Amino acid sequence: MLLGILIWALALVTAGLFLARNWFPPAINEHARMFDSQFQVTLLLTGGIFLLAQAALGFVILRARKREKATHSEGNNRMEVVWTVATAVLFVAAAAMSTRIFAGVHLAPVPKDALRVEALAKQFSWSFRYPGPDGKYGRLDVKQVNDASGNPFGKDADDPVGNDDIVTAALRVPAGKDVELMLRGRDVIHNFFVRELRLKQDVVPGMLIPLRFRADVPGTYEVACSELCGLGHHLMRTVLIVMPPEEFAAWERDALDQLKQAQAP
Amino acid sequence: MLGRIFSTDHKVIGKQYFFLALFSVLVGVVLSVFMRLHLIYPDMKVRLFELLWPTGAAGGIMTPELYLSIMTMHGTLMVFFVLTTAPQGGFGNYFLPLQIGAADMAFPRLNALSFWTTFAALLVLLGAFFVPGGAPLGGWTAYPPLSAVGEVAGPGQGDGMDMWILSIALFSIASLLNSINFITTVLELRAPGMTLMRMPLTVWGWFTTAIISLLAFAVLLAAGLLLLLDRWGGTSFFLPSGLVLSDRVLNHSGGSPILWQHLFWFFGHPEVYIAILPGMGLISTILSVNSRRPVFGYKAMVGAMLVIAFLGFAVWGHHMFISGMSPYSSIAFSVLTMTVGVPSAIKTFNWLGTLWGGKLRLNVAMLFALGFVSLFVAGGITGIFLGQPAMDLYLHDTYFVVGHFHLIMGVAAVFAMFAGTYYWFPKMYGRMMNETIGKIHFYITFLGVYGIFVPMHVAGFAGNPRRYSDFKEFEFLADLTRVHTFISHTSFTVAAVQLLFVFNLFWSMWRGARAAVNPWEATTLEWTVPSPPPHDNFGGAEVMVHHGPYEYSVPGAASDRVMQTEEKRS
Amino acid sequence: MRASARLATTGAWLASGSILTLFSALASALVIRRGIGGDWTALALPGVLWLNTALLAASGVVVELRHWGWAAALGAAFLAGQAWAWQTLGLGLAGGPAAAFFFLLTGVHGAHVAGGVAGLIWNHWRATPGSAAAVRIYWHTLGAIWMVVLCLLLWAKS
Repeated sequence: MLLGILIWALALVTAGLFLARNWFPPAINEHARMFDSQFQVTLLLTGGIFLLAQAALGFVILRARKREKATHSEGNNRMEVVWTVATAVLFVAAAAMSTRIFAGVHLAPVPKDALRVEALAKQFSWSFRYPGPDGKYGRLDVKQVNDASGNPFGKDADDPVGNDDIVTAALRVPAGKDVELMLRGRDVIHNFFVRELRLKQDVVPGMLIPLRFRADVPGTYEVACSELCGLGHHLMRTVLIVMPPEEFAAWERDALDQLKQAQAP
Repeated sequence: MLGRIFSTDHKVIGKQYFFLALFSVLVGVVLSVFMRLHLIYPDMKVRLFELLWPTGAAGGIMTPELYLSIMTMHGTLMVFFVLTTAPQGGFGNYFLPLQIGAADMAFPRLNALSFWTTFAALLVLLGAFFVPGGAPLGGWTAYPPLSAVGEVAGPGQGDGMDMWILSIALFSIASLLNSINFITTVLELRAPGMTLMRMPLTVWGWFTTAIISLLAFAVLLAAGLLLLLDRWGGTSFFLPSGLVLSDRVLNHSGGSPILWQHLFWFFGHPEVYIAILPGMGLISTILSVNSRRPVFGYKAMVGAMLVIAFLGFAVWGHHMFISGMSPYSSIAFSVLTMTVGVPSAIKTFNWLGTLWGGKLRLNVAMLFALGFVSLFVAGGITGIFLGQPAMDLYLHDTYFVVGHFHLIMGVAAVFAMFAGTYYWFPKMYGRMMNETIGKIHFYITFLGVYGIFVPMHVAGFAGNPRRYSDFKEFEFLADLTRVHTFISHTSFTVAAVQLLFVFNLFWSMWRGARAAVNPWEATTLEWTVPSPPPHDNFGGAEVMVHHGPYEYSVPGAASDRVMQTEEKRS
Repeated sequence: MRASARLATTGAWLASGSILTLFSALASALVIRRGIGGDWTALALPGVLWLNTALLAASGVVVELRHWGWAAALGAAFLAGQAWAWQTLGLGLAGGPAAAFFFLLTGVHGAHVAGGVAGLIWNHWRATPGSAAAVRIYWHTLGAIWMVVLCLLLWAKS
C-alpha cells in the first residue's frame, strides 16, 4: 500500500539527508573530537532504532494487504519485559557515555596557567576583558558603565589595578592553551556559542559563569548569541580568533602599548 | 438562545473548545507562514504585513521585533490554545462521559465556566497585538530579565507582556477547574461494570492528563504571579542587581533568572505530556479498531501512561542543561530524562504489536493514526540526543530543537487531533467526512511535515540558532539558505492543504453522507448511542458494561467485535 | 454519602491538592530566594498574626459545628486582621525579599480565604449536602495551609 512504501521512502530520505554531508564545521580541539565521536554513536543508535521502527511500520502495513482475518492477541508479557529492559539499557548507556564529556567541560579542574578572560554580553554586542600583566582585573562599578566612551564593563576609573585591563570586541586566544572564559551579563540572558568548539553557555545576569576550553587550530570562528535576548538577537555576533602563541603575545604587547599611550597625561 | 451559548451540556462545551482550538490553530499557522516567508525573503515588501502591522512592518518589511512577537504569539497560541485545548477540552469533554457511560460531567456548570474562562484568555492574548508596543517578543517561554523589566528591553515587553501574563493566568485557572471536573468524573461517574481496567485508553489519556494539569498549572500560576510582581511590585524574585538597560541602572537586586526557568519548566515539561497523552490514548484506540485486534498489552499501555505522567515531573531540568544550573543537577536530570523515554518506547512497540496480525482498514482516521506512529518515532528518537548534556552543549537553542518539538507536538499530536476528528465526526454530526478529500489532505500533509521538520534537524547540526529573525549576519548561515528555502516552500504548501481539511469539515456537516450509528464497527460506549447523542447521552437508560474496550476478533465470538455493553452468555 | 456530596467531596479534595501545589511552588521559591541573593532580612512579624491564627482556628472549629454564619464572620475577622498586619509590617512589597514573600504568601492565602468566606455565606443561606462538604474541605485546607505558611515565615526569620 502506498502508505507503507511512503514511510520507507521517507525514512530513507531522512537517513540520507542526515548522512549526505558532514553538517558540522571541523573540530578544533579534543573536546570537539570527543563530541563528534559521541555524536556518531548517538546517531548510530537513534538512526538504527528510527530505521527499524519505520521499517517495521511499513512492513506491517504492506503485509496486512494479504490478510483475510485479524488474529486475536492477549499481548505478550515476556516481550514487554525484554523490550523495556533493552530500551532502558540502551538509553541510559548513551547518557552515561556522554557524561564524561560533559564533566570534562564543567567539572574538571582548571589548569593554573590557563588564560583568564572575561566576556560581557549585552544587548546586542560582545566585549572581552583581559587582566593584563598584573593578572588582576580592575574593580567594576555598574554606575560607570558607558558604551559610548568604550566602557561596556563599567571599569571603575578610580581603581588603578584596571589600568592594564585590555578590552576588546573580539575574543583572541593563543592556540593550544587552556582558556577560562568568565561570562558576565548586564541586561538579559545571552548565550556564548562557538560551533567549532562544540560549546555553548548561557550568560546570566547576576552570575559569573566559567566556560573552559582550549582551541588547537588557528583561525577565525564566528560567535553566535544563542539565547533570545531581544530584537537584535540575530545581530549579536563576534569572532573567536585563535592565534599562534607568538602572534598572540605580539598582539597583547601592542594592545598594552596602545593602552599606555591612551592613558599618558 | 443564551442557554444554548452558555450550555452546560458537555457535548456543546466540547464542540466550543474544539472550534476555539480550530480558530487558534488557523491563526497560529498563518503566523508561522508569515515567519517562514520573512526568513527566506527578509527584504521583500509584503503589502499584507504593512496592512496588519503598520508600525511593525512599515513599508511592508517585517522588523525583527515584529518577527519575534509573531513567533511568541505563534508558540503561545499553539501550545496553550491548540495542544492543551483540543485533545482534552475538545474531544475529552465530548467523549469522556459517553465512553464511561455517564450522562454528563461531574460539574456541568463548572465545565461551562472553564470554557468561557479559556475563551476570555484567548481574547486577552489576541489583545496583545492591539496594545501599544504590540505583542511580547520573548518567546512562549518568557525568560526574565527580558520578560520582567518592561518596555525598556524591547517593544511589546510593556503592555503586551502584561496581557500575555494575564492570559496565561486565566488559562491556568480554566485548566485547573477542567482537571477537577475530569478527575471527579472518571472516579465517580463510571457506569456499573466500567472498572478502571475496562476504560478505553482514551479515557486513561484524559484522566492522566487531568492529574498532570492539576499540579502543573498551579506552578505556572505561581511563576506568573512572581513575574507580575517583579514587573509591577518592585520585587526581585528573578532580577539580580547590576542590570543596565538603555543607560539606566535598574534598582532590583538579589533575584535569579534561573528561578523562573525552574518554575516554568516544572510546568513546561509536564505540559508536553498534557499535549500528547490524550492523543496516545486515541491512537491506541484507532489502531485497534482499524486492525480488528485488541490493543497489544493494554495493562502495559496504562502503566506506561502513569509512569510517563509521574516521571514527567522529574525531568524539567533537561531544558536547562546550558542555563548555568549546577552540572551535577544536569547529570541527574539527564539520567531521569533517558528513563522517561522508556515508557514512550514501550507504547511504540505495543502500537506495532497491535498492528501485527491485523486486518487493516485504511480509512482516513487510520491513515493519520499510522502517520502518528511514524512521526512519534521520528520526533521522539531525537530526544536521545537532547537528553545528553554533552550533546546539548552544541544542539541547545538550535533548529535541531525546533525540529524535535515540532515533530512531536506540532505534528504527531496534531495528527492525533486530525485522526480524532475524522474518527468521531460521524458521532458528533451523524454524517461522514469525505474520504477522498481526507486522503489527499493526509498524504500531502504527511509528506509535507517530514519535508518541513526533518531538514530543520540538519540545520541544527550546522549550528543554526533558533529565534533569529534573519540569517544575514553570519557567514555560516549563508550555507543553509537552500535548506530554509525548501522548508519554507514546503510549509506554504502544507498550510494551504489544511484548507481542504477545513472545507471538508464544514461541508460535511451539512452535505456529508449520512453515517450509521457505528460506522467503524467499534466497541466502546459512544458507538451505542445515536449520532449526535441526545442531551442525556443514554436516554436515561442504565448502562451496564460487561467487557473491556478492545475485544476484537475474539475467538468463538459471533462477529469480529464484542461491544462493551454486550451481555455475557453464561 | 449522597451522590452530590460525594462528587463535591472528591472535587474539593482535588482543588485542595491544586492549591497545595500552588503554595508549594511559592514556598520553594521562598526557600531558594532566601538562599541566594544575600539580601534576606529577618522580618519582625506583626503580633496580630497570632490573633488572626486563633480566629482562623476558631472558624475551623465552628465550621465543624455547621454554624456557617459565625464561621464566615470569624473568617472575615481573620481577613481584617491580616489587612492590619499588612499595615503594621512597616515595609512595602519592594522592601526586600522577606517582605515580598510575606505579602505574597499572606495575599494569595487571603484571596483564597475571601473565596472561602463567600462559600461560607452561601452555606449560611442555602447549604446543600454538596456545598457543605465542599466548603468544609476547602476551609480546612486553607486553615492547614495557613499553619504551614506561618511556620515558614517563622523559619525564614531564623
